[in-house]
Amino acid sequence: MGIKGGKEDVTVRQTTYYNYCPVTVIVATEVRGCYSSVIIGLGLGRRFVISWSYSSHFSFVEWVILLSVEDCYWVENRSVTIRVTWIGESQHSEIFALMDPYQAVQMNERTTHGDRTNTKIYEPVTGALACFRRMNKTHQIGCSSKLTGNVGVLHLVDSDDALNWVSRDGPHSPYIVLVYADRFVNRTTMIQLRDSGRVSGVLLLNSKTLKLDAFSEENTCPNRGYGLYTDPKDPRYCEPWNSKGNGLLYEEWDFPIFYVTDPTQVESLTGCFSHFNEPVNGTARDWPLCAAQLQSHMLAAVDSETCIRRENVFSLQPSRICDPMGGRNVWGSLFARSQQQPYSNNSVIVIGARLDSSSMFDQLTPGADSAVTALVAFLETIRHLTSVKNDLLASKTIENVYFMLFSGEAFDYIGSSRIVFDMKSNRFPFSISDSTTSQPAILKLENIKYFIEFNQVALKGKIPPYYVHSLNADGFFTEIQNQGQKIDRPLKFEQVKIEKDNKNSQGLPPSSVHSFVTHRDDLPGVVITNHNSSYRNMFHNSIYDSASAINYEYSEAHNLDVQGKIATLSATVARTIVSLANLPSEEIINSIVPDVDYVDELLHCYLEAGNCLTFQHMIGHDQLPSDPFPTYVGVYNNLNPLAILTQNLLSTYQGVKVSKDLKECKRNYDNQTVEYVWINETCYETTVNWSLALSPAFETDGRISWSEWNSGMYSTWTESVWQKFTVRIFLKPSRTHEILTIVFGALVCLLSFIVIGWVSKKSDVIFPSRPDGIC
Amino acid sequence: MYLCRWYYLAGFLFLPFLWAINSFWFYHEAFKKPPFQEQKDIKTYVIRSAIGASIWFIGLLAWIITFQINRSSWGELGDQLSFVIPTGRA
Repeated sequence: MGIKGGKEDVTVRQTTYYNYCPVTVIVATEVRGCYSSVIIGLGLGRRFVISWSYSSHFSFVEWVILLSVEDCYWVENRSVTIRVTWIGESQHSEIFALMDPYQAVQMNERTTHGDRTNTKIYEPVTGALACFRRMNKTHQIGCSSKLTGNVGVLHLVDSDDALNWVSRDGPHSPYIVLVYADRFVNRTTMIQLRDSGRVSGVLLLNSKTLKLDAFSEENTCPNRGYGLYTDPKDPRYCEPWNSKGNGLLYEEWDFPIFYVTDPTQVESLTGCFSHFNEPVNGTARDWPLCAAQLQSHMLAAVDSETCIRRENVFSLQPSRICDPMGGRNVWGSLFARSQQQPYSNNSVIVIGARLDSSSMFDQLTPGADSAVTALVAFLETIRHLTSVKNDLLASKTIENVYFMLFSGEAFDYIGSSRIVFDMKSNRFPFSISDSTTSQPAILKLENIKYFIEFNQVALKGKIPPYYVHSLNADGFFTEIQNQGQKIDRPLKFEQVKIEKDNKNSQGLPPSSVHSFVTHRDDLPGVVITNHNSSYRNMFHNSIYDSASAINYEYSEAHNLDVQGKIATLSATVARTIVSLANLPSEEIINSIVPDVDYVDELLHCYLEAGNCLTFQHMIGHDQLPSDPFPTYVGVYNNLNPLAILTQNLLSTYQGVKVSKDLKECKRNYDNQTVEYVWINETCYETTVNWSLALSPAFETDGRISWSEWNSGMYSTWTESVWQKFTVRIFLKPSRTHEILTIVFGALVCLLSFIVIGWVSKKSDVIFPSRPDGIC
Repeated sequence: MYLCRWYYLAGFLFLPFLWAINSFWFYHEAFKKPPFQEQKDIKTYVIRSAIGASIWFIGLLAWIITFQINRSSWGELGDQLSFVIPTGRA
């Protein structure tokens, strides 16, 4: 029994030979004599990041993530061996693989050994990312296709004439529109396409040569109506923080939208269009025309309440239709402090950042400035603090430093509202239980001295400073400015300037601090960002918020500006906190110096390479995907690899190495103040842990918690379940041609009946009976 | 005649299709054949069955049309009355 992270070959016995590899991988656990299994994964050469974990019903918590299923090969036509790659550990589970006849049928449609008629007609467009449906309490947003897919004639819209052709003049409606990002970002174009009623799908094409100044699918005022400013009459209700936002993410589209990333696929699409469909001198071409079929059928509709209700209504086949969004909040504290020493008021510093960002398309949420830069600044600050934590123990003003990473902030503060909800019910970090001997001291909102948040901290160049948006926290600002001036500048880098946002009329930018200040008016809260009034990030919460958008280059000696600024900022904040601890000696503060190389390495891991060395050490093997991990929060019952990796990273900062071997390095149920984690062949004793980031409007099993649901204070976002995403192109004949084909076929069928009927009537004439005796 | 009567009576147990069958099956006996002793009774049963079946038919038609049109706007009631809820739309 047991799965350990890494590569494993699993063999399946099978007697029927297929010329493809329809294998399903199952991870199963024996719990008290029964198998509880989860089916994961499909066949040949496809890569899945699918995750699974136990609920809190079971007495152990383990997790496994299947990274890839590859190398499917037949051995003597009798058995199939597949190679699976995992990260994670499970001591109580086993991997099985089954031949899946249903998948066999599906693979049949996809085989490229072109004997099938199917492959002669359709050409699949691979690597297309779909826009999918999400819902909240009152609306549905996003895209969906019909159950059988949406079909339309391709047309490239790269000029106003083409736009009018599609929405008004062209005779071959419905159309599937091909569009590049420069037109897509224009909100009026997309709305016009939708309202014309002649569009049955949109394909956004990736272009390497196109350089956009701004592209943000998010609203101009993110998370409107949640947090501090919930009254629409309040002028701060919808400040245009994200001035470049076009809000396309929050629109309801009645057709599917896909993003085609692969340049060769883009060429085949535009080539097909220009060869068959492009109008000549303003006149339409004749059939057959190049058409496409887009399939992205969403099972859920209307709004979250309806779809959860429909899941629970009695029916023959209970099925999942939608899932509440959420994930994991990762938190930890500098010192382990038991309940015997409760915190006094205003004695704990809390440092926070968000883990997630969003975008319109599935699997593509790089979130470079929206999430990663703040996350890296956060990690680096914690690393500095944990390196001097033994000295900080002596402080009389600060009793502990908590650090928290929130998941789901882009969707109305899912993670932070949940943590504050737990704090208010005196359940943070753990609810009081009599059976556990030692528990960490309960953290309440009153105990918080300062809440410090990092939010979008990518900066480049001499002039711009970092801004501190604060509420009731002038003391902090003076101190951080003080430290900012004293800190030694890393060679060649400009001083990091820190200024106060003096436009109090605008209020605080959308950030996790809202969740905290809403429930405690006088909480001193601080948000450190790179912008003053409107975002500096032109690609907030979008598919183009990547390393190049923030001018980040890994290890380029002449271009370490972004890294240098973040490193200096982190060191400054760490020094500020140490100086707030009022320690007798200045030495400790001076020992904290910016480490540009380490920040560079972290940024590289989160923005460019999921298989970087740091992550490999966290996981314990090198089988990681080379693409960066997406920062999207996903649904609450699906594990987020980013949260796990970051939790392990924090454990190595805060944790102490202890000499236990793998078997002993397990949670001690009597002592909840520390966790034991096995990372990179060592056992760490650490306070770092995770908690469920599910909006309080939902119960822990996904049902609605009506008191919180109706309060309107908590996020109600859910994500629809879907079955498959496919895009394929083919040549479509005219309607007459199609009808003629069917009629002709029917006639042939009828004719065959008549002929056979006549032959059988006259059979004794046509086939003379054979005289006996002749062989 | 015995059968016709039996079907007529059984149709009162919410079995309108039985009435429809009854009226079709015995239509020939009741109206087309030359008169015989029991034909009058059969005629009454056939006519009554036909009337009953058509009342049911109109009632069911009205209900089906209302339900199909209004199911989505009835929200929770509509979902609880449905056996198979279509995916992806209201």
